[in-house]
Amino acid sequence: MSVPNAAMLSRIKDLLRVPDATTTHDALIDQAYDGVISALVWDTDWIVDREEIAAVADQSIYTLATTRTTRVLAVFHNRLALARVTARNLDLLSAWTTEASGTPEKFSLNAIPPSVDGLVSIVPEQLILIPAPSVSAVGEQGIVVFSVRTPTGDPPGQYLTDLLVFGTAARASLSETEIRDKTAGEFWEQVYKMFEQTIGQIVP
Amino acid sequence: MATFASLAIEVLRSVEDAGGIFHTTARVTEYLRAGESLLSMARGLVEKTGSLPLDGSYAYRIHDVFPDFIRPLRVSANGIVLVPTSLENVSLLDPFWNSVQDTPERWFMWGGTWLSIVPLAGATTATVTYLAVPSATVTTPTVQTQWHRTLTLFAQAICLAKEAQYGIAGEKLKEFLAEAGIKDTRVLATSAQRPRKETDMPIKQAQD
Repeated sequence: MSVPNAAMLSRIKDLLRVPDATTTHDALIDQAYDGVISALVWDTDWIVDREEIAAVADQSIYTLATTRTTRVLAVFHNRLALARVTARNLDLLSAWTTEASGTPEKFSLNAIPPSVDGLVSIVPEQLILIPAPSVSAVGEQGIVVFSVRTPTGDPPGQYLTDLLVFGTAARASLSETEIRDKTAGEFWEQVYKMFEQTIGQIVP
Repeated sequence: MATFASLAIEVLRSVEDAGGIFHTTARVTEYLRAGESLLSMARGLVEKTGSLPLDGSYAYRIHDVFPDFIRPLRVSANGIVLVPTSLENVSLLDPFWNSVQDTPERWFMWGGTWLSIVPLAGATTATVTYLAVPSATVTTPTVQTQWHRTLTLFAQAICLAKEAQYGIAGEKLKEFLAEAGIKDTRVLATSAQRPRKETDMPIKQAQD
């Protein structure tokens, strides 16, 4: 779960009129913060991370280290940008299910690879390379995945700090908990939306 | 020149808490800084230029070098201004774009976090001019004097909201929005402050 750092927590408590020294509501605030940052990651590409995975010969399915990946933006194998394909497009390529291991050219997030027999579930944190890398194609660079994901530590970029502070105050105030204050929550939400709208106009 | 401390005193006076009984100068300074951050983003007021060391990588986590980075405005390397592009365009032109080393010509962002410069440069330096977050450590606002009143409007709105005076707080926020040039007032259209109009009739009645 993402939690606010000490400085942000203090600011959020101030807006909620919760004494700084009191820790009674910290768990609720943490939950609200996680909800805000998760929604942000769902709606925008502002927080992109990079992950390296070692390629294994004849292995098609790879699992991302984090369970909080929202979108995969790009996948590279040995520095070659792989083409994103869907299961439907793959099925149109009649040979893909019998394709032998080789140099990966495509990746998919929702198809069953040829190396797997029988039923298999591809969960959101897994991706498959097509074809699976052969022994000679494993290479040294491995697989590099750029994805939008919920950060575990502080979000990258100071410009997100105020957005998260006001967003968390809004969400906490509007939550069905003992710190609920609907009118205050609506006000903080307005401020949050001002930040969200402004950042949305300048950050791709 | 006004400092955050002097502006905070002004805000405390305007919300009739000159003694800082309910609001402290430190907290009001935080509100002023938040207002400055929003204003400078809306108006593009804080621009910085810095050196990004290049090492042949195909993507640089930009906030590791510039923590106050918001978005790039200009990127140059070897004295040449680079042209903005996108990952899609670069990948379409050459799937091996991230292996090609040559004189840099273009740049693109991966969301808001990573910057790529193509073709890949060897060990050199890129100059990046970017929209920045105002400094959180200086005692004087980074934005120019003519914007200081705007900052106080934002801080007043937060103070008044904390006092549960949402009506006046909303008015202050509207004034801030107008001065900051944030034109889309949909952000103020929630039920708490929206005045009821004659045209706001129930759907059933409107259909009749």
